[in-house]
Amino acid sequence: MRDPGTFARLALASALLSASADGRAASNVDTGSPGNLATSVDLQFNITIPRFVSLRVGSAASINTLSFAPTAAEMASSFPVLATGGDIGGSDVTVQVISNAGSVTLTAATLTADLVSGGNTMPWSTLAATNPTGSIIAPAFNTGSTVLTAGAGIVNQTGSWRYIWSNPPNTLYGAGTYTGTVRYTAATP
Amino acid sequence: MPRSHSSHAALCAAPLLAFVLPVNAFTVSITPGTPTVYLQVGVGAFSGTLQGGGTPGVNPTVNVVSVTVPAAQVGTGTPQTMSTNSSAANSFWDNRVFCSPPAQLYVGGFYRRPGGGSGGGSALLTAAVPSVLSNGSGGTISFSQISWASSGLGDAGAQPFPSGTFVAGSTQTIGSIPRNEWAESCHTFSYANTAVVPAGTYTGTVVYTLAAP
Repeated sequence: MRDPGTFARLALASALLSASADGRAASNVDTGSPGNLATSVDLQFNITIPRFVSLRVGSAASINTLSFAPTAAEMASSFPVLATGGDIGGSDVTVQVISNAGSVTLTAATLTADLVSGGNTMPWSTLAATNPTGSIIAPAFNTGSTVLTAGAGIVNQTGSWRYIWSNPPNTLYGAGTYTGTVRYTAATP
Repeated sequence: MPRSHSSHAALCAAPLLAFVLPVNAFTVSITPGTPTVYLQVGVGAFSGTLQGGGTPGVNPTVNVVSVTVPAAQVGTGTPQTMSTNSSAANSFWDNRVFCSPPAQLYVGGFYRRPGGGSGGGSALLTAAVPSVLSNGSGGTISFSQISWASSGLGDAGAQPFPSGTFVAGSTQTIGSIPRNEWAESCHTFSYANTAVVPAGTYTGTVVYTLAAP
């Protein structure tokens, strides 16, 4: 059995009594006549949020490859061609930009001057992207930028981009698989 | 002897009879005496232990519960466990280890008044909760994003100061201490992290008050 306390037999110092009304403490005590006893303590909470910007184009976990494989008839028609391989399906990829560091500028830099197939090349200008959902405009390769304006310091937008190969008329490219990589960058001030 | 569930007992004293009732969490009867309320949230001040005849005191240093959210986790909705700078692990009732800082924050105290038996009401522990934590640059986080889980080493079942979530901009009840009892719990706080907010360190202070009728 627990022994009951013996605090009742002990006198409290006057300093202790005078401190009882002060709420800026981690422990506090109030004592005196019955009725209206009250003592307060404070507890401070801190939440630290770092500056960050995050960018997703395609799958969250891996680099997506979009493949355009026009048939001979499509080549002859000069109609634009859609790709396969987008994380949403077909030619569409997810785009997500989140930042708490102010407005975000998106750019797209190709890692090679052209798409390359052995000794043959194809200009990046034959590819373009639209935004079927959301309001994030895809920046033009190497020349453009898209600014997402922050609201109260926050950018939090999600959409999709749809890539189209223009299949330019009156232009013939040697048979082969032309490859290249675009690197998108999200930057804050 | 380590604190165990079976040792958690409420002592009901009658003039010629004392018996022990097991309870689910740590509360214990104390002798009647000079009307007193003692409240400790974090590191307390006590000369000895109450069980050993010690006296409660004032610790003017306010403790801090904090978390730094990893950049990759900001606003994902994944709760972020908070920690405290409190080192209070032992109960001032009997000096046994009860909480596990820095993950847990000690919350406890006692309510004493003259005369044995029942009656006299309970001391109510409330928290005056601001609406928001602020980063000083206009950014805010609602206090409703902070919740806590209540437990105690060797305890099981209901706590005197149970788990909860802050109600922003309110004075809410945290628990109560019956007349002539000591009660204590350990709180593990968590930030819900459901929104992307501007960078900075957000601060806010909750005032806990133990008041007796």
